[in-house]
Amino acid sequence: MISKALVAASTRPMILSILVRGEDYGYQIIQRVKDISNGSLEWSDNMLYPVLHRLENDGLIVSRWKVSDGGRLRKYYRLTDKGLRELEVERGQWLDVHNALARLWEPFPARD
Amino acid sequence: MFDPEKAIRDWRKSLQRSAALGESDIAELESHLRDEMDRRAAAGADPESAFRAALELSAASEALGDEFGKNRHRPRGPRSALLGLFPAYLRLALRRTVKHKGHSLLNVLALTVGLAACGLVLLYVSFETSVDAFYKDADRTYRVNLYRKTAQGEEIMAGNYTPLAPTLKERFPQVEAAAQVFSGGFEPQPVVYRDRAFKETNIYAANPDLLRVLGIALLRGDPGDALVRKDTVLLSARTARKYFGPEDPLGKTIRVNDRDCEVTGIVANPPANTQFQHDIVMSARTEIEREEFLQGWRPGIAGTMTLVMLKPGVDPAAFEALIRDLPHEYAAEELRKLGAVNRMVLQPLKKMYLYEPTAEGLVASSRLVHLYIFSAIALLILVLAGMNFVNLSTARSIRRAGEVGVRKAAGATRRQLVLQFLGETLVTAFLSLGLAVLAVLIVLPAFKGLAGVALDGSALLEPGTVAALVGLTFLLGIASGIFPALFLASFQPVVVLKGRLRTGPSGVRLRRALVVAQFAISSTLIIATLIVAGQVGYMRRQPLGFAKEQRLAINFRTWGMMTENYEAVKTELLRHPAILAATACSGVPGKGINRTYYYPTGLQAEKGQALRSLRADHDFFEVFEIPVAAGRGFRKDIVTDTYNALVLNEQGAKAFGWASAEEAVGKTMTDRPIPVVGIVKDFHWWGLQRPIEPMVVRVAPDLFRYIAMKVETKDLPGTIAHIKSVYERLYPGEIFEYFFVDEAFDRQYAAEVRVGALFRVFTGVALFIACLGLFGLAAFTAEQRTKEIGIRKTLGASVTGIVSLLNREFAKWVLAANVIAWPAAYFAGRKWLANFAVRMPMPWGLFALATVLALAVAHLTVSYQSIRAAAANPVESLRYE
Repeated sequence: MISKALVAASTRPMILSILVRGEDYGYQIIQRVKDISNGSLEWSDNMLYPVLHRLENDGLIVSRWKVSDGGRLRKYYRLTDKGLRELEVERGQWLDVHNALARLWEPFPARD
Repeated sequence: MFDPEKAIRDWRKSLQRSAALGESDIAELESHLRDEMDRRAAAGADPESAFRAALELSAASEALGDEFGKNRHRPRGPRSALLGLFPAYLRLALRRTVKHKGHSLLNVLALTVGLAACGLVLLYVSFETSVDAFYKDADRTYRVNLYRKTAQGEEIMAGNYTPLAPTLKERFPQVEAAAQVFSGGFEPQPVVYRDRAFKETNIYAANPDLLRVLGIALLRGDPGDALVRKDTVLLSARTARKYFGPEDPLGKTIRVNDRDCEVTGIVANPPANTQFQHDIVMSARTEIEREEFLQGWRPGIAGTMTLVMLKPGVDPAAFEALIRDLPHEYAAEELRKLGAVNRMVLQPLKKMYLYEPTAEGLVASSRLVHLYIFSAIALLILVLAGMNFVNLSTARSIRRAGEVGVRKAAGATRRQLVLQFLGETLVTAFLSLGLAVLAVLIVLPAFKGLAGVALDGSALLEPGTVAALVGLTFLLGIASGIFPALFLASFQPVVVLKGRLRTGPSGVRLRRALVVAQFAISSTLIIATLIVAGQVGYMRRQPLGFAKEQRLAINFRTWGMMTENYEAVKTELLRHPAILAATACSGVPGKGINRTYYYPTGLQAEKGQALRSLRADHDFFEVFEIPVAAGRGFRKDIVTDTYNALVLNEQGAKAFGWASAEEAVGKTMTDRPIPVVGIVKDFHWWGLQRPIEPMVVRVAPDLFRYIAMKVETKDLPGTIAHIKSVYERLYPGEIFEYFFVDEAFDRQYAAEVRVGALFRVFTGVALFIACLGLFGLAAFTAEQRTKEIGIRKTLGASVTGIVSLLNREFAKWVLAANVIAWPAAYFAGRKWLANFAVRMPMPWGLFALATVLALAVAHLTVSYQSIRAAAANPVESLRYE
């Protein structure tokens, strides 16, 4: 179980990173995250959608409705230029943190 | 049997109860739910368990609402509770109105402006129609007008024989009360008590029955003595306070003009909406016993207003027939000599303000015409605002098509959708009403000055007005909303969502028609405004036949102050080097002038008529630079020129039938006889709304009341100081007053200037609303053509090229609108100009100017959207699917 704080912090960069690959809708995003994290990240709808809407309010993503061939309605999201820039910023920050931790953990100090 | 669709519908309903979830959010969640159900079904679950499992993954509706609510910057809690009182679709309407801020703002603004304009006009109309109509017994009160017919024509005068009122009361039992009223004259008169001296205009003289007829309340004083004795006066409460302060006025003496009157009563203050501003009312006896011309039945002097209140149940037509021929009873001899027929005609009190009496009956006065015009304009503006609303709603309807499709796919019925959209328009309309009322109250003081009437904002709260406004708003909301509502509600969801419904042909045609109509109305108003301003400017520029610049005049309190010594006064004044010439006279152009009856000697019956009668000294024509057409002006060295010589204007000569000015010289008038020594060229006495009337001039110093001087413009204050000192030296105790002839003359155009200003305001409003509509439409059109623009750009079109392409579309419509506007404005303009004796030629240049103006404004409005669209990144535009 990953801590709530960590899940919350990583939601934004995750969504932005998924959307940079192309348009996607909520349900699918959740499945992708589950796959790519090997099941350790299982987002619920009441966690994802508010974040998506917040991102849209901030102008980082835009949405539109599409009809599938099966007649199913879905709301698709895609990245804006602003979102792309924001992703770069987030990525930079995460990598800074990640590299710092990686240096601290390698080599892992043995317990005495 | 488990019905998944019903379960989903119930689940939707529970979500809808949450105020934080919008329609779109619910649709998204439903889509998510269905995806989850599909996945489980694919994994082998039955519909029911698939549903329940999916439901569990999705948090309970309340919690969901909370999460979603955090994104909205809205305070929840008590507000949601309050909203909960409204039916669901109204809540939805409110939420949606707040959401679509841009759309709502435009609509609210347009409707607010339209309603505010209507509100102001409503106040104006209700005030004007209430003038003198509120008196308790106004229904049986009439003014007795005097109809006169002579060989020269017919006319109706509002003033009548002085003894008429008491005669009516004495002889006719049908009369409950009969009032004689005459006003204090053309100029404000000095009223003095101790050290308080002011010039007052609201001075009347009347008999005691005036209080009965107008229902004026006597606050203090003996009702049996009010206006009975000679040299007594009644004051309104505010006048009493002005002169006496906290002192008791009763029994004290106040000087009105040159009459010392005892204050015998205090009356209530006159309301704003009466023509009879009875601030100072002297007893009629004071005047009648002094002035000989007010005594007896004299046909030449008709200056006493007679108001009669009939007993309840008396038929006015029958009464009128009874009194019709009274003049021939009392003044038969004179009328026979004049070859005239005089009759009494009744005019209802309620119709005195807005109607003028003519030989053919009551005719709408210019006041009433203005009321009609402004009511029509207010209606037009309201229609404009309504059209705007329809236009914008329909334009936006396609943007919102996605949402509609979603709701319909989720099973909302057509009825629900129609009700929902109507709810939205009603909410907008009533929001606008509230803002409009606020706007009216804020703007009212400025509007009062513009319209020239004392409007009172509290009239808005009257039940009649409130009902009218609420009803109007309701109708407007429904009318504006019904079309887009039905239009939207009839969309087929799949068609809508596939974006097929981009530009339905009938939709576009309607929108175009609406924009054309709006601009047609606006252009017509622009042309009308330009015509009004043009006519005023034209009148002001016309040569008047006399010189009015640099002419300064002083007026004396009454006639007879200069009879012996007017030459001496002039000499004193002329000592100052800046005063170049001076003349003494009974009036100057632009001021009042009465009429006197003249006829060529021996031709009284055939040619007798009343001419404008000016008394002036030998220098008048020189001071005002009026050229002589034939004969000569008055000469000081010819003794008989004083009192016993006449000068006519060209119109005067024509009026008596002489073929030329030369022919008129030497003829004599009346039975004295008095020779005509000269004819002067016609000059305008009144503003150019009125034609030049026949005029006779005579040197009669006993009636001089003004001295007019030609002055140099440098050091005016010094010159005026000199004049003041001369005046005060020669007439100690009198109040010094002066004015410039050109300013006083120009004030005659005040009504037209005011109409022009009002027109400008309302035209601005109409244009503003039309532009709002155009702005929204341009935004929509630009958006619809985004893909086309993108392609053009990638093919090499420039930004300016695209902007002009988009603008050209709209220019076409605006031009079409002007094609409609021109004939409409032409006919209206011609009708209005017909009121003026001197009118400008139909100004085609102004028509063109109006069109150019309209085009310029339209271009500006559309350009913003065109430039925005043209500058957008083509890659983005092309991705727009």
